[in-house]
Amino acid sequence: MVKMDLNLIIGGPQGGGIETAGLLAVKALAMDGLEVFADREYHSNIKGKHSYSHIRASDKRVRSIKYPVDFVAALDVESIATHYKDLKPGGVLIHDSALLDKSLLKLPPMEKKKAERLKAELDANRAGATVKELDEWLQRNGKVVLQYPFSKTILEKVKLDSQLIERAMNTALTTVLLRAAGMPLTKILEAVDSLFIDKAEARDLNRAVAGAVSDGFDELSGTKKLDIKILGQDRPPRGKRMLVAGNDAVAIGKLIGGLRLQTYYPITPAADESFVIEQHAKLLDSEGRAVGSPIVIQAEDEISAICMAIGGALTGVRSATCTSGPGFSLMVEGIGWAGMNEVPVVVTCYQRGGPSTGLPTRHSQSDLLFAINSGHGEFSRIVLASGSHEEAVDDAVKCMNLAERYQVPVIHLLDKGIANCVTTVDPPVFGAVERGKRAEKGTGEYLRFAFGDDPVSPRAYLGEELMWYTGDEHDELGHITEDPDTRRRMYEKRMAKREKILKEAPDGDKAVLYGDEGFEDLLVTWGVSTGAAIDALPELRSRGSRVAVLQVRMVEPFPADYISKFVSEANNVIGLEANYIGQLAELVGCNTGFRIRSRILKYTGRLITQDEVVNAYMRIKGGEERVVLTGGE
Amino acid sequence: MGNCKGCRWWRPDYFFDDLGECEKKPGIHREDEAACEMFEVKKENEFCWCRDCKVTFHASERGLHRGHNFFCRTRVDPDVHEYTSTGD
Repeated sequence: MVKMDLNLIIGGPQGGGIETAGLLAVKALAMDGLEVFADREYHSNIKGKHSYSHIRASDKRVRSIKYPVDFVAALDVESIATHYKDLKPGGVLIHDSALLDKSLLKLPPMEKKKAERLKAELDANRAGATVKELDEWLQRNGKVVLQYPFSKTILEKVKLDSQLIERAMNTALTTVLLRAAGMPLTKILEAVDSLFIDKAEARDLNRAVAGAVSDGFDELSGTKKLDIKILGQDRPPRGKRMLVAGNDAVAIGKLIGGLRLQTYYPITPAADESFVIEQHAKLLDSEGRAVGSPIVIQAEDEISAICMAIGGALTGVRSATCTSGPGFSLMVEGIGWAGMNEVPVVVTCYQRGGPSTGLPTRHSQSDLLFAINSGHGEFSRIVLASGSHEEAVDDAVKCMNLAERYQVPVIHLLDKGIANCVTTVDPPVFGAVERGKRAEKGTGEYLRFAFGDDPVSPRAYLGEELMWYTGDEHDELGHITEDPDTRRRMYEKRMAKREKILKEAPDGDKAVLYGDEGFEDLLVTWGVSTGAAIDALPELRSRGSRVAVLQVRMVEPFPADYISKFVSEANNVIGLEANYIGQLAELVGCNTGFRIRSRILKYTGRLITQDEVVNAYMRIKGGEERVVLTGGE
Repeated sequence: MGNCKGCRWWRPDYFFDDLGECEKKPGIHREDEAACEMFEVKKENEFCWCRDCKVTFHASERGLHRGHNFFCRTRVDPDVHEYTSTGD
């Protein structure tokens, strides 16, 4: 059994079928019995800009990407120019031989600054100015270059409708890439069948393309002696796996958790979650008959989206909305209203690069402090941050349960890294749906905000009892009041939920420790960055470090006592997150009094990678206090 | 006689510019195919497609594209938006 860790990049112009190429490779690798984690990087424009998938596959669980890579498969010159330097020694570059005479310096879609950087690199390396010259330079420097006549082969061997060239080139590239890594054609065709399961015409075309280029590859690889057998090994069968993006994971979780109303206004990288719910969810009765689907409403803006979700929650249906930073900004007033009226509504917030529209399609973890402080005044809320796709499924269920148990708005905080990365996960376990404390009928005058020992009052749905809701301070009935004593008691009732939440939350909802308990150094992180830290642990240990990773999950109310236990035990505590300030590190400091001085940060819009964690950790050990990561294109 | 690349009926693909469509022949072709009986030398229209800049330009902007490869039109997959991730 070969231990393997395969990293590959498939790049091309946005709109040129590059996303399908990546998905096909991910599917083929997952169906080959491997664990997969794939990052999708794409521009916010419609077409032409450089996009790529960085796919990592292993026979053990992987949660992050890693450089350098084994393969770069390029659909266009910009992908070659951008990623040639990412190849490890012995790594393979694959591209169309038709590109050989193209200039590396005349790339219109490339941004000017990137073009200047590229030219400087090429000049410094004396790597030439054309694809052919770069290929020769790479081969002189221990890399393998596979120039394949993709377009020629497709045009000669496949009967191609003129509209389908973009949809053929991507499959051709991926097929040759996987064949070069040792995967037999039969497995690639299985993945093609699965990817185009509902599209017979596309399936047949892609099967034909894969077959044609695979035949050509056999002839070519014979002459080139390309014999890399990373894939195609016999692997022990794995249990049933699912291949999901983070958007899919949350959608699945919400459906398992009994979601009945989802509202949204389209925004990257959140909207796909609503599309998944809308397209795939069917509600069945106890006898398996279809009785409809959850209601998914595209509102006119995010203000309406949150207000509709609040309205739905008041009627007693499980309601949620989803958005990212700019939309979340608009939802803040509604979240405050939900806090004042103790409305169990869930807001799924996928962070992306800000401020303003910022980097719409790029990763960031810079909305943590915003999420916990969103809204004026003070009120109880829960902010739960998932660190993986599996957690995203479970937490989506949990968020709806928590919202109804405590009657507070719950913010499920994710990031673009989770939203758009695709990975293999175990099928979800169907957990319990908890609807919270309900009012008994016919017990006299109903007090929606009744005072009592428990800050959570029995809840009736709209239409069951008479009740009033207002943004103003109110009495137990919900009527507006400015009486100072009622104000104090109602304020304290709302805020007392924070203590109750912390007291009742299981440790695993607060934070999770990965690694040995006898640690000396502690990496404190959250969100998708957790994966890179966990993946880095074996290498850090092999270098003699006794290090563990603490993933903080509940960030509001903040479990200060629980976190203090860990940070106070470590000799060195290092923050790791994708923002400028070190927002989690600041939050730990504010709540525990423990100042995390060493911080590893990244705010380029790209994921923190495993190799970056290792290198940055060693720099921290070497005496640096703040390490800013810059890797990735 | 030249090849497809030099013909007025040639429409290079937006993404894969060594491939393209001919307005007179069905299917996708390579730009270096030998010219056929329908070959006509390409000439500048009021609007042209610059392959080097990937933009359509007006004849009045010709000076900005001196030395570049221009074509009468370009070819874009009409369904491209259906499967393109973008963000806003």
